Amino acid sequence: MKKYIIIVIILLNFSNVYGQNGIHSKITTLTGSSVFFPFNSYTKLYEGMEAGYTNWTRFRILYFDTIAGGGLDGSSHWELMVRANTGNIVGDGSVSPMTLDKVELLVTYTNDVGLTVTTPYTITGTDTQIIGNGTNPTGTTVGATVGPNTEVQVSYRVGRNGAPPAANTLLGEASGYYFVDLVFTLRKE
Amino acid sequence: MKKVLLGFISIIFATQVSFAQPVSDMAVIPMGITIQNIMRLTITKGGNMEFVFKTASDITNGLGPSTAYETEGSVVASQAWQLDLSVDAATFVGEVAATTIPLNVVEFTPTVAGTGAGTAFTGDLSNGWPSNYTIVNAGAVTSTATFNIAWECGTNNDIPATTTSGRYTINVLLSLLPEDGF
Repeated sequence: MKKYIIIVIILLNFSNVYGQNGIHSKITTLTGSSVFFPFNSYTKLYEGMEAGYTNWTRFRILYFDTIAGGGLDGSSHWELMVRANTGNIVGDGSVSPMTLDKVELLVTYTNDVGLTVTTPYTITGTDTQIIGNGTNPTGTTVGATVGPNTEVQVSYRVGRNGAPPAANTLLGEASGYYFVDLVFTLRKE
Repeated sequence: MKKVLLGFISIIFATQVSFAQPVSDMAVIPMGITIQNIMRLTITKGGNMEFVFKTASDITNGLGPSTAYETEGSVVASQAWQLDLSVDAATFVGEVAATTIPLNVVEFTPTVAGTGAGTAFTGDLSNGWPSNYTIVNAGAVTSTATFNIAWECGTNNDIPATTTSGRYTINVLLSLLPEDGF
């Protein structure tokens, strides 16, 4: 009897072994984990700020989507989303907030494919895809399952959407400190 | 022994195996923006105004307005602005004599030009005491606004006949300010 019970226990342990498929995604900030724009001259306010913020933030992307029994799912794709975690750019203290459209992103994507996204993304309060499979604004198909060498660079510009003074100029905004958190999400598309 | 083993088996059956897979990941980049508004006033001409009455005609008719009695300047502002005038005393103060001259003998006519230049208002120096007097308001964001203030003395408001000879002075302060209510 004791022998049968031991056999049952062993069999039960075997039942806990799975051959599963799943997704592993990891986004790592390499540089530029925060960004700050000091508008301290009329020229900066008039022209906006962009110079010096090229490829300011660099992310390393790791994404694996496996199939049952092992191997990578070639049909699986990832996407990188961005959003602000508040509905506007919050003014510190009693300073009135600014609209999110003051901030724009330019994204460069480097892997075997290589992609430079030249269309600036305006930040909103909802997730916006900045890199995806065939749906990015350039129309280039990217986002295939990639390994640890994929890197995404993000450039920033503020108050610079068009010829100065731009449509989203900061001229006329009240003095003060403003802040917003940008949330980048890596996930299966 | 059998009871212990059966209990152990029951625990195994009751145990739920759970998995947590990282199907998505996030990174947060804090962004800060500091705005220091720019309000820059530059006087390019007529930073020191001197009215010299040396003839009977000068006393009778007054001096100005003319190009000799003009103050010119420019404004750079990153927000709505106004230009205020004030003086630092209730009267012109004589350097030697104990007498004074009332402020209203000096009048001014400002004009403005350029983008965002606003609207100008005339007046006399008594308007600037004891509180500010706005000589230009409704100025908008600008880097090209200029102004001209034409001064005149003793033309409409005569210098009192009892005034003794001498030099009388006062400081006129021009202040570039964010527009009221901004």
